[in-house]
Amino acid sequence: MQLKKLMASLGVILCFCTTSSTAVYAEATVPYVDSGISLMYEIADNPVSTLNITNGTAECISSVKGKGAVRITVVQTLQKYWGLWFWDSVDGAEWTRTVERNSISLTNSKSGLDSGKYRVKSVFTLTDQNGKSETITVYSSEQEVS
Amino acid sequence: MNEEIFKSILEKAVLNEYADIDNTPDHKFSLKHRIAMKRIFARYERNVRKLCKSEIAEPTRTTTYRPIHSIRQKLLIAMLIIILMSFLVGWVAVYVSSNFHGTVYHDYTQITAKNYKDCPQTIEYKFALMNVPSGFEVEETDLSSIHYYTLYMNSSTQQTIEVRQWVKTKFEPNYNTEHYKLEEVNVSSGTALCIDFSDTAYKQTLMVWDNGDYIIEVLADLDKESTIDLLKMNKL
Repeated sequence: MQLKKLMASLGVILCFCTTSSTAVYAEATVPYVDSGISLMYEIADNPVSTLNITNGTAECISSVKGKGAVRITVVQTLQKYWGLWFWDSVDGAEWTRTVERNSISLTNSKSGLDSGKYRVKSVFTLTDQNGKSETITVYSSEQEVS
Repeated sequence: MNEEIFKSILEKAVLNEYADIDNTPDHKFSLKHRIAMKRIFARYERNVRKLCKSEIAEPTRTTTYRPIHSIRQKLLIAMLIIILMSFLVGWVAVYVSSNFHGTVYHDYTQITAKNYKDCPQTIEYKFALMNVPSGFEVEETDLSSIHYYTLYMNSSTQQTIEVRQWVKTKFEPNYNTEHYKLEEVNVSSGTALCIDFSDTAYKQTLMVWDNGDYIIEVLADLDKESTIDLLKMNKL
């Protein structure tokens, strides 16, 4: 009987593990990197996606340096939580920048935020001198506007 | 005989027949039958009394099922569960150093600062390198309330030195540690984290330390020794 209970608990835990994909640390969510199924970090070494909200104004920071990169493009989007697993892009809060070198940093602000939960999505595309590209997506930790 | 007379005769005959049933006398059982029935009822009452007495003396037994697995078997099952979960979730370890802690995943490491006490919540002064290798000049700066970025670039070699200054509570990097080792090195101000990303084609080294107020990152297109010399040059 106890073995049956143990196996049932294991089955429930397995179900949760296979559906969970977000790392959680301490009391807040931490940024995480979504690289899909491709090998990640061939060119990029330290992608950064950070959100800071103060008095209804969001500061979005995206930064990366890539070893051997000759061109970097970043698409930075401020997102608002809609529900379930859906996030909407905030109107007027998407920025793009491209540099012809191996380091980039992009800081933008968006004011007048409604109450809700927000995060920054940074999509970095790094290209090396051989034309090989790598795209990685980094999400910042989430913050609430009350 | 007309019909009415016939009906009346029939009615009287039916009534007489049913009246006889109501007046049927009681059956008298034989002595033998009466004695046998008496004996049967007496035996029934004795059996009922016996059952009542036995239930009071011996309450219903309950069967307790004890687990048949030994401690060794339980430990084995627990170990199998842990191993299975680690394969499903992925190998995760905790990183701890004097000024930082974090989580090590299979291909990257998340780092956070350890000491938050009395640290500024905004950039109150800008950190910069006073001395840089020859040929390097400030290419770009980027300032926000929690982050200050300075890029030094050697336009002839396209090498860059990136310096990032972070408010401690907003320091949340993901470092590529899939094939690189995160280690602690001694610098003038104490200890710093170091990752040497150099390979046969490119040189790149990361140094991260806590200067008391902020977290400083230097990511330079230099080898490890040259980057440590850069910090010494700036008395960091």
